[in-house]
Parts: sequence; C-alpha cells; structure tokens
Amino acid sequence: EDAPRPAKRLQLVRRGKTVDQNEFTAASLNTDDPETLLPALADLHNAIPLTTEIQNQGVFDEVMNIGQRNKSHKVLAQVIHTSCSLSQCDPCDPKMQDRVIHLALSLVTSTKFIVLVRSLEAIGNLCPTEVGSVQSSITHTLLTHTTHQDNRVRTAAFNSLLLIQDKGVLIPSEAYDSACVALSDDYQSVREAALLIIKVVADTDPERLLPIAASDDHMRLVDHAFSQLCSVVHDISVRVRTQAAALLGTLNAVSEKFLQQTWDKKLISNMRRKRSAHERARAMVSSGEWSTGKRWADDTPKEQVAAESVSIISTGSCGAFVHGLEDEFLEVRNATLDSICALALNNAQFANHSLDFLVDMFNDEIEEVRLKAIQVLQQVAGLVTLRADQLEEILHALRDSSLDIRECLHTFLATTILSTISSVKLCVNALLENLRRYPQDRRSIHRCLRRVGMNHPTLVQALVAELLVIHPYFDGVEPSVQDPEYICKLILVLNAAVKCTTILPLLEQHTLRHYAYLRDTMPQLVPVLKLGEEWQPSRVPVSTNTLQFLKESVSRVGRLERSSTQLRMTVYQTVYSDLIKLADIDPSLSAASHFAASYTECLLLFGKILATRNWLTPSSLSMQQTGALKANVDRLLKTTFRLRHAFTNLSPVEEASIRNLRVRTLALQLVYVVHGSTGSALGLCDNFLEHTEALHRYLTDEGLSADSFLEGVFDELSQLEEPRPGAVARILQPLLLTHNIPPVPPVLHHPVQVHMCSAEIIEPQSDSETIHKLSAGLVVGVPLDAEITHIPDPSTLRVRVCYPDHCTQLVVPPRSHLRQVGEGTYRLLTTVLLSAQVSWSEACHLKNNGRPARDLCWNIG
Amino acid sequence: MPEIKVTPLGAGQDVGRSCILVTIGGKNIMLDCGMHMGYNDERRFPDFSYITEGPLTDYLDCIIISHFHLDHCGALPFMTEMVGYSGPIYMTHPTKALCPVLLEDMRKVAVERKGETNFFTSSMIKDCMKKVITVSLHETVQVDKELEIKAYYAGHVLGAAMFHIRVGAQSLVYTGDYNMTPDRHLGAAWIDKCRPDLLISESTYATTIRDSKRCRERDLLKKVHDCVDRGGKVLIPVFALGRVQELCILLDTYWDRMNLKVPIYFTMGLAETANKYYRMFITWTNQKIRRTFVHRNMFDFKHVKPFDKSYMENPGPMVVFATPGMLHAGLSLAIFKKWAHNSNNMVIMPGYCVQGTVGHKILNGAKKIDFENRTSVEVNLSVEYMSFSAHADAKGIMQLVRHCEPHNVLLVHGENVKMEFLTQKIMQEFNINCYKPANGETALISVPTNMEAEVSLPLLKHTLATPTPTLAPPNPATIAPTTTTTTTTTSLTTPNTTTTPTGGHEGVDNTHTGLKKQKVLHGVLIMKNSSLRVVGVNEAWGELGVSPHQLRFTERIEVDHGGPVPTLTSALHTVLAGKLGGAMVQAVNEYQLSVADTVCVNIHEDDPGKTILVSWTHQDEALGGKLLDIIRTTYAK
Repeated sequence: EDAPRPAKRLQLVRRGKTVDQNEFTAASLNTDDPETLLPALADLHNAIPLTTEIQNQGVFDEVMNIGQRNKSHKVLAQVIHTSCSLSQCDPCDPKMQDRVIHLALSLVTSTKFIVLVRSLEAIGNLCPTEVGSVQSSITHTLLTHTTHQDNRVRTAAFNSLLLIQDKGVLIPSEAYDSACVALSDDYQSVREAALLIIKVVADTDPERLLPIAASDDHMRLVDHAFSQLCSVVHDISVRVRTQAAALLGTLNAVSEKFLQQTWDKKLISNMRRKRSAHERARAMVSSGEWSTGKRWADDTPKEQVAAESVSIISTGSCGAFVHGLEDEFLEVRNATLDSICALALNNAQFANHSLDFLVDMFNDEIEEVRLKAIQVLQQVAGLVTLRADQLEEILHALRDSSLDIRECLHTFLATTILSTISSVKLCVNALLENLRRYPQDRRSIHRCLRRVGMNHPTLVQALVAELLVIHPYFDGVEPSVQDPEYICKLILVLNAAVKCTTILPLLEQHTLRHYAYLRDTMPQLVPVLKLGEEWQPSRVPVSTNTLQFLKESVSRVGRLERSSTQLRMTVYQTVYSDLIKLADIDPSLSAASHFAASYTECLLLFGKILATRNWLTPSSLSMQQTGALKANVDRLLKTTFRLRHAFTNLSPVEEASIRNLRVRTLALQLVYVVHGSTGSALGLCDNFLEHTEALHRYLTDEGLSADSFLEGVFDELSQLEEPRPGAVARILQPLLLTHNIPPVPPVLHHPVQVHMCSAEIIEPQSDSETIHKLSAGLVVGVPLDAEITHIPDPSTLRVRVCYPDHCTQLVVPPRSHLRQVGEGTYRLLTTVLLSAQVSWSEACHLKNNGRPARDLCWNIG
Repeated sequence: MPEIKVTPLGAGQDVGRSCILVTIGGKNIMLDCGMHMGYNDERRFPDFSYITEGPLTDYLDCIIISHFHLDHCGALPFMTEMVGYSGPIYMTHPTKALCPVLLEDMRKVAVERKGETNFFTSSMIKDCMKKVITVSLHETVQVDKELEIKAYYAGHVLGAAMFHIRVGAQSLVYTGDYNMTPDRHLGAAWIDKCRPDLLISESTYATTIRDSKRCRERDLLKKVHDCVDRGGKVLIPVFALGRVQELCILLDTYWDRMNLKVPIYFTMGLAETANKYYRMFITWTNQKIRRTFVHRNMFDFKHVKPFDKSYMENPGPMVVFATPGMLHAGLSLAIFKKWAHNSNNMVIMPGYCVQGTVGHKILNGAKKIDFENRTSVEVNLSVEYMSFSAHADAKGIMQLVRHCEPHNVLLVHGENVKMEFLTQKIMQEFNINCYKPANGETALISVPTNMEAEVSLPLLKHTLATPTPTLAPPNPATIAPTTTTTTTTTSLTTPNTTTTPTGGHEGVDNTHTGLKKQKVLHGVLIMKNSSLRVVGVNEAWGELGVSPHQLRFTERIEVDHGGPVPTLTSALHTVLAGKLGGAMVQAVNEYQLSVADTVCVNIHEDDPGKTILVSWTHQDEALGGKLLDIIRTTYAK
C-alpha cells in the first residue's frame, strides 16, 4: 500500500483522459436485418481485443447465435470472421475455437465464395497443433479447396495451408503437388500463394524423392521445387515473378547441377552456335591474346547446330537467373540479385559463375540495381577470384558519379584478392584516377588502399619502384607530402611493408621521413614498421596513470561534503579544469573525463547559484548579479541537458544520478522563474513534473533508491491536490536548500565504457578554399559529410548553421541521408541549405575558412 | 467446322511489305499495309486487286496498323487514296503521330530525289490520316456489332502494338513486330492469357537466341568513353527514328553517371520532330523513363545538343549522331571523310549495312575508300559494330506463345528456312498446329464450334447445391436421351463457372485447363427458333404443356415365409441394408420398404406364403433389377 502511493498520486499530472475505445455494446447485435448486422459485426471486429474474458464469452455466444438464425451469406461470412478473431483473443479459449472450427467446417459446402473464404481462413487460423480427427479433416478440406472453381477460394485454401504449416502442422504431400499444378493457374494471387507453399514444403521435407514423369528416375523434392520456382521466373505477372525470384535464394541444399543450370543460355545466330560475350572474354584471357581493337567480327557464329538439339523453351532451372537479371522490372532484377547473393554465399562455384553477370549489372539503367549488384559483389568478394578483364570492367564503375557506388566498390576492392601484379597496378591506377576525379573520396580510398597493401604485400613490392618513382642510379625529386596521390601510394606501400619487409630497403630517405610524418598524422592508416629508432615517432608508451588520476579527482570532490562553501567552490573549479585537460590527454578516457567534468561543473554552478544572496528575490539584486545569476542558470540547464543526452553506455546508477541532477536543475529553474519573473511557469512546471515522474518510474524499474531530495519531492508532490506552479515551487524551495547534491558522480565503475556522442565534419573542410556564392533571399546548398559516433537516437540529430550575423538555424537532416556505419555510428551525407536574410541587400560571400561556420549540435524536443 | 482464313499479301515467308488478309467469323480484316523497301516498281505495294473484284470498302471491315515502320504502313495512303478505301483504320496514338512524318519523308525521297511521278501526294497522306481511328492500350474497341479489337503493348518501337481481334467466339492475335526484352527506352511486349484460336506472330529472328543486351551496351559505352578520354571524336551513323533515341538515352544517362563534359551532337530535322513525339508519349516507354519523367523527361537530353556543320572542324573530343545510317550519303558521310584519317577517332555502326555502302566496306576492314569524284580517304579510325535489334528472338517468340496459349500459330515476317525450324519447335513444344503460308497462299485454320445454350438458373442452382459424391476426375459428357416427341432429355456436363462471379481479369474461360470439377446436370434441352435452352424437367413439362407420364415396372415374388408380415419386413430390411447400405433402405411401415426414395417394396399376406411386390420407375431400372436379384436369391422357392 505504501510504496506505489506517490506514483498513483503523481498520475494526477497526466493530462487528457484515456478513453476506452474498446467498448462495444452487444445490444446492437440484437437484430436480424443484414443491413444493420453487417456494420455492427464489422464494428465488433474492429473493437477486438475486448477487455475482459467474460465480455468475450458473452459477445462470442451472441455472435454464434446470429450465425444460427441468420442465413444471409454476407452475415455468415462476417460471423465466422469475427468469431474466429474473438476466439483467438487473449486468453485463448479452446472451446470457443472448437465451436468456430465446427461452424466453419459445416459451411464449406456453401456456394458463396465469401463464406468459403472466411471459413477456410478461420480453420487455417484455428487449426489445432495436436494430431487428431479435427486436424486431418481441416487439412483435407483445405486440400480439396485448392482446386475449387473460384480463384479467391483457391487462394484462401493455399494461404490457410501456409498458416497451419507455420503452426507446425504437417501438411500432406498432396499439397505440394496441387501447388505445383496451381503454378499455371490463371490468377496471380493463386500462383503467389502456391509459390509460398512450394517453398515451405521444400524447406521442411527437402530430401523426399519425387518420381520424374516418363522415366524411372527420382529427383529430390528440393531440386524439383527449385526448378518449379525457376520456371515461374518467366511468369506473366510482375508480382509473381518478383516473388519467385526472391524465393529462389531461400532454398538451401539445392543440387549443384540445378544451380549451375540457372546460368545456362545457349546462344545461336541463324542456327549457328554463338559464344556469348562472357565466353569470349574468358577464352581471350585463357588464350593470352590481346584485343586487336577490331572485335566486331569475333562474335561471328561458329558451327552449325542441329535443329533437334536446340531447346528454346527452357526447362527446369535453365537460365532462370539470366532471365531474371534481364527482366523488364527493377523489382524482379533486385529480387534476383538478392537470391544470387544468398546462393553464392553458400557455394563458391556458383559465386564464380555469377561474377560475369553481376559485373554486367553494373551497367543497369537504374541506380538502385547497380548499387545492389555492387553490394552483392562485395558480399561474395571472399569467394571469387577475378580475371583481369573482369577487374577492368569493375574498375570502370569507379568513374560513376554516385558516391554510394564508388564507396561500395572501394570496400569490395579492399576485401578481394587479386592474383597478378598487373591487376594490382590496374586497381591502384583506377583508384588514383578516382581520387583525381572525385577528391571527396579521399578517406574511403585511403582505407581501401591500406587493405589492398595489406592483402597483396609481394605484388605491391614489385610495383614499389614504379609507384614511388625510384631509379637505381638517379635521385628523383622529393614529392610533396601534401600531394594526395603521393599519400595514397605511400599508404599502399607502407601497409604492404608490414608483411613484406624486403620493401623497406627499397625506400629512400625522404620516403622514410614521410613515413614518420604520416605515422603521426594518420596513425590509423599507417602501421608501425620495424625500422630503426630514428624513424619511429617519439611517442613512447609511458604508463600515465590517467585512470587513477580521474578516480582521485572524482573522489576529491566526494570528500568535500562537509567543507566550507568557499573551499568546495575552489576545489570544484580545479577539478573541473583538470578533468577537461585530462580529456585532451588521454583519448580513451575522454568521454569519462568529460562526463565527470560536466558533473563537477554542475556542482559548481549549483553552489554558485545557491550561494548568491537573495537569489530568490531578483528584484533586490544588482544588475550585474542578475546577469550572472541568469547566465549560471542557463549554463546549468545546458550542461545537465548535455549530460542527459550526450553520454551513453552508462550504468543505471549513473543514469539515475544524471536524471536526478536534471530534475534538480529543473526544480531550481522553476523556483527561480516563479520568484523572479512575472510570466507563466505552467510549461516549466509540467516539464518538471514529467521528468520527475519519468525518474520515479526509472528508479522503480531499476530497483534503485531515491536520495533524500527526491524522496522529499515524491512525498510532497503526492500530497498535492493540484500541481500548480506556485504550489510546486513552494514545496521545492526548502527542499532545494536543505538537501545537498550527492557530490560524487558515480562514474567510476567503468570509465572506459562511457561513450560520448560526437560529430566530425569531413566535408566541408575547415581549410577549404571553396567559395559558395549566395544571393540574398535565395538558398544555396552546401554538401555536408559528417560522421557521428555514439548517437543513441539519430532522429534527434540537428545541423546547426551559424551565420556571421550571429543568427543560427537548426536544420533537421532527412532520415534517408543518414546511413548507419556501425553500432551507434552514422554517416550524414546531406546538402545543407544556406540562406541569407532578405535584409542583406547585396549579394555577399560567405567564406568557409578559418573558424567552422557550421557545426553539428544536439537538440532534443 | 468454321474456319479462319489467312492470306498474306506480303510478309508471307518474307520480310517487308507486311500485309495480311484475314477472314474470321465472316469479317474481312487487313492487318498492316506495308511497302517493300527493296523494290521500286509496283511490287513494292501489295496487290490490292487480289482482294476482291469490287470496291475494297465493301469487302474489308477494317484495317489495323501495328506500328509506324514503313514496311507496315507504307502502302496505306496508296491503298486508301489511290486504290480507294474509306472504311475504318485502327492504330495507336503514337503510330498515328509518327506515321505521317515517315510517309512524308519517304514521299520526298521518292518524288523529289528519284523523280517518281505516280506516287501519292502530301495531301493524300493527310486525307488518309483523317480516316484513322486511334486505340489505347488494353482498350476494347467495338468495330461493329460482332467485331472487337484490343491493343497490347509490343515494345519494338514507340507505339507498336499487338492486336487481339474477336468475332463472336473466334479470336486471333496479330503481333506485328515485337520485342520481348526491354531496352533503354521501351518495355517488353506483354499479353495476357487470352487463349486465341490463332496467333499470327512475326519471326524475324526465328533461329537466333541472343546474348544479354547489357554486355553489348557496356562494350559500346566503354569504347566511346575510352575514345573521348584520349581526345578522339566518335561518329555514330543512324537512321532518324527508333534506335537513335535509344542510343541517345544510353549515352545521355551514361554521361550523367560518369560526369562527362564532352559534347554529344545530334542532327536536327526529322529526328528532332520524332523526339518531340517521344517526349509526349511517356506512357509508352519503359519503367525507368516512366518513373523519372516527373523529375525530368529523359528525352529532354541533358548532354545532347543540336549539330551544326561547322562543328565538324572543332578541335577536341565529341560524339556525333548523324544520318543516314549506312554512311552512303549525306552528313554522316561528310563527317566520316573529315575524321577518317585520324586513328584517335572512331565510328560505330549500330546496325546492318547493305553491300556497296561505305559502311559495309569499312566493316569489312577496308583501309582506303575511293569515292566517285576520284578522291579517296585513308581509314585510320577504329570501326566498331554494334547490333541493336528490337525484334523478339526465338526464345522470346516461344515465350509469347506460352503466355497467350493459342490453339494455332501462324508465322509471318521471316525467312522460310528459319520459319521451318520454329514451326517444328512450336508444334513439338506446345503440341499445336503451326502454319507459315507464302504470299498469296491461303491458310485455313479450323476452329472448334461452341454451341451456346442458355441454362435456366434454378436448374443450375439446384445442381450446384446437390453435393457431388466423390472428387473423382470429371466424366466426359454423357448423353443418355429418352425421347419424347419434341424434346430430348440430356445429361450435360457443364462447367460451373457460369453462375459464380469471377473476379479479376486474367482469364475467364477455364474449360480447357481440366482443373475444374465437373458435374452431371439432368435437364431437358429445348431447341426452339434456333435458340438452345437447357431447363429442368418439370419446367420443360410446364412450358411445353406435356403431362408427365411415368413408366413403372412391377414384379411380384412369392415367398415361403411362415411368420407374420412385420418379421419378414424387418428381415428383408436387414438383408437389403446389408447389401445396399443402411442409408439407402428405409422402412415406411410394417408392410412397406422404400429403397433410395424411389423404389418401393411392398409385402402382402397371401395364401399360403407371402408376396413381395417390387416396383420401380424406368429411370431406376438398374437399381430395380439389382433389388429383384437380391430378393430372388434370398427368398427363392
């Protein structure tokens, strides 16, 4: 009785009554007129789930009664539909379900399709999982209705079979046969449903042997199902084709033979056998010939083929994927690509076969498909070996203007294994050209080259002299270390040098100096090499005790509880500045230090505010004092807000203390505003109560105890009749003054694990010389590329644009422009629109150099 | 048996001059009215005098034009204006828009360049176009009371359509030229499962199975890109309509994708006029263009600019589309002469070249070309060949046949040898007849007759309501007539699709699938005033004023039985129930049993034994006989 009391009273605060919309009056069913019954039943159906079990039972009986006395087929259908839903309400009542099943089974002789459809749906939904007569009669009924005259009934029968299969009921083997027959049904909905049946049967019973017509042989069911699905790829309807193409990838354990056939397409030209472009390319590479430049005739048809040996109608799985990729609609092509990916991941040979076709898809007219093709390629990269001609085709796509395609390709190149020196050279040259064409790809190309270097140390070794222009006798010009291409080459070579130490003696002195520079500036891209002392950057690993320092600082704050205000303030100030420094020194503790520093700052501010004499009667304060007080309150609000939202991965205790601090701050603000200004504090009060309540719930959920301040707040609030700002403030004022803040931020449990949200703006660079011209009153778009780490909820992200005239704008980036890179890490690629006020009468230049003109910031609510 | 008569006046075992005369259900229809581009004499037009002695308008019910290529519509003004025809002509909107453009161009070439005299004039083309009625895709147009036509998308060129023609129960599909694989500006041909009696299909590539288009496109793009990257100029000789729009889109989007700045030029004139129409008929293009046109119409090329002769001299890389396509004259040849000597440059031949043209020579690797005026040009530039054809290949044709499930196929618009192969394949794969008449030869395709009979609704409902005992495969129609003077009682097998409403539009006629459960219907077929009706027996009696007569057989069996009658009755009941099944036999009272509600068995007290009297109607002959046997063997004296 005592514990939940405050919570109960606190609920007073909630505005707006929750209306129970599920109320339903059974009285409206008391009629025989179909015209009024139908809407009533439909209403009832919407009202499900009803609130109580008793009510359920009553309504259910009533509905079943209608079923008995009414003969209108529409009403009957609705009765089954509704009673089926009713009987499935929580808690399930097997008796009710039995009654519905019997009613439905008795109605399957109906001639009206709607009654039939509803009955089949109902028995599908309610089919018991235990084997028994009910179950067998249900499966039998469903099976017989798969050949019903009405397409809607056939569809419903197949769908219900699918439903009962989902429940774990073994569907009879005839279901598979009738599904295969239904693949040539006239109606696409039937074909769609049949496809799914085939898929689930193939999943549950893949090894069953099916006889092959007109021979004694047998084939495995999963193979049969696969070729059935393949034949549907030629279907007349887009929806069915899409589904079939998508399902192809979901079948596991299909025989090798059937998989290989999916790429089969024999070309003939005027009855002569012809080689496809893929075969020609393959033959060219294996023969070691080079293109003569006049290749128009090399696709001339070869030998004559016998008319009998040509099969134009594809049987089985022949050419299914070839066809799927050539489909008119992107939905089908996309689904096919997905399937290819799924199958290729399980089968290296299939992956190698698919390579040519995937490369072809780079040339699709729709970007979505091109991107998907590259993504598939990227996923199978580990399984395939590229031929030089294929690599050339792939590298061609690096010229694409779509950033996604290029970056995807970079990832692909980073993972794939190249076999020859010439292909590595080809690859590096293409990447360098890419860099020239699209300088914004710099980071991605760096990462890619790093991996290429790591993956092919010996191949890179052969290229070192050529790449770095090293001559055996002559000294070359020392390249500028700012040259982006040179940096790329260095990254490649240096990463290769880790595994192939013979590269090191090849390098010249200036190259080694550049290594030291790069190692310092981009440590994540340049590895440590086994070189003499002089080339190693002077960063010696020293045990720094930063963790201990952090702990000590925090505990220093804790020890001060009983000290004088003056001393406390001084210590807070020192600790605060110490921690900020610490954050700079040790990146691994940066987040925790920031957290502790912010917390200390809050303590400091609280102290300052409460120490201000007469802070509750601002009218008596001097101008300067008022200003300082206001600034402190604002700063406090801002800091607690940051604490509350910028840090993640905190323990519940830490989280609770932060929330406590926030509540306290809001309380302070409320008291301050109520006393100090004349405006309404209604909104503030609501906000405070909302936070208090949330905190209370949080504490109860996590099983934590509230501190003395909060206990006081909860107690007092629960005795309050109506939460008016004045009254709340009156309660809070003494509480604030009497209860001190728990001074130890409990950050010490796992300081390394604390994450702080941060954003790095990659584009536009702060030192960029690009000038964006904008005319007054019009907008100009500035591309923005930023990486945001440890963001708990990306929807709260805002871009802040600061203009030279000190006005700022917050821009909500579109959701689609954010892409997830890793856990809690996002990349924002968007165009920020800048606009100048109309009052600027002349066009002016907004320079982008020097200080960052715009940054990312947090704003919630 | 009724027949569909098909006579090709052109395009029978031949390519060019498509013109097919069809007689279906008493209607005469002309499919396409094309000219042959290879001839300059009267052979270029179909022989219209062959059709009929009298005026054409009286004989032909309508003309249908599938698309705007001249070998499908070139003879139209000649026929309507010079031979004389004023009946309806059907074509799609884009065809009507582009057809006069091409006709006018051809007329100009024929009259102004070649100086022909007996040729139709511009005003004739205009008058001819006034007779055209346009149809939209999937719109059913009622030509007259019985004849209706419906257009389906065919790919091939803008506005190309396949036509489904129906007269009563007979139907045929004429494909015109079609393409089953989508290209950069058009989608693939599509037809629903309309199950026509006859499919008339083109067969240009009957013996070819083509590689994917993407390879070829990629090849082309890469070559062009490499050439302009090294500063070369690319010349692509094209004809003004069709492929050039496809290539322009291909290059334009590629330029966009790759961020290229090299100019692409396009010669104005006819092609520009055509582009205008391409921009308008967005609904006839492929998925990509339809999806993006709100954003930007793909035919509003971003990078393609009009060409001016002076640009030929400009330095730096460029890509030029120039007419005509075979490098035999005009601008494309002029540009070729200018650029041929530089090995950095390239010429791409996107199609077939006739022997004797410059295009043909360079494709065969000629290093030096001599011209009439004793000038010659060194050919140093690289020559590429790309084949972009918009006809269905063998696989595509088979796929179309599979999709529309015809009962017969007739091939036109192809070479005889190639057709022979495909004919065999179609007969083999689909087990249907396939024809390939030559020009002037008539193919007769017999179609099954469907007799339509009206079935009374109560009878159908009654039949549907009685449950079928088993789910055994349907019996073939059995007819067991018992004759009265004017009517026949028949048992008809009816597909029960007739009464249930069927949703969707994919197909209505389901009798051929053999999937449907069939039921035996007991009724009376009444033939009166050339109408057929099936009604219930009682209805028929009432309607015809016939009083029903019943034919009953009665047999008496004398039985030795000592006990009282009820004992015998119950004994008999047990016996019969054991033999026939309990549900069949019912005891009416102590003296009477009833079997299957119709046969009654009475038992009488008789001296010295008892008599069993069995009585059955004519319909229950079999049951009665069996019953009699049972009783006789059980109680035989």
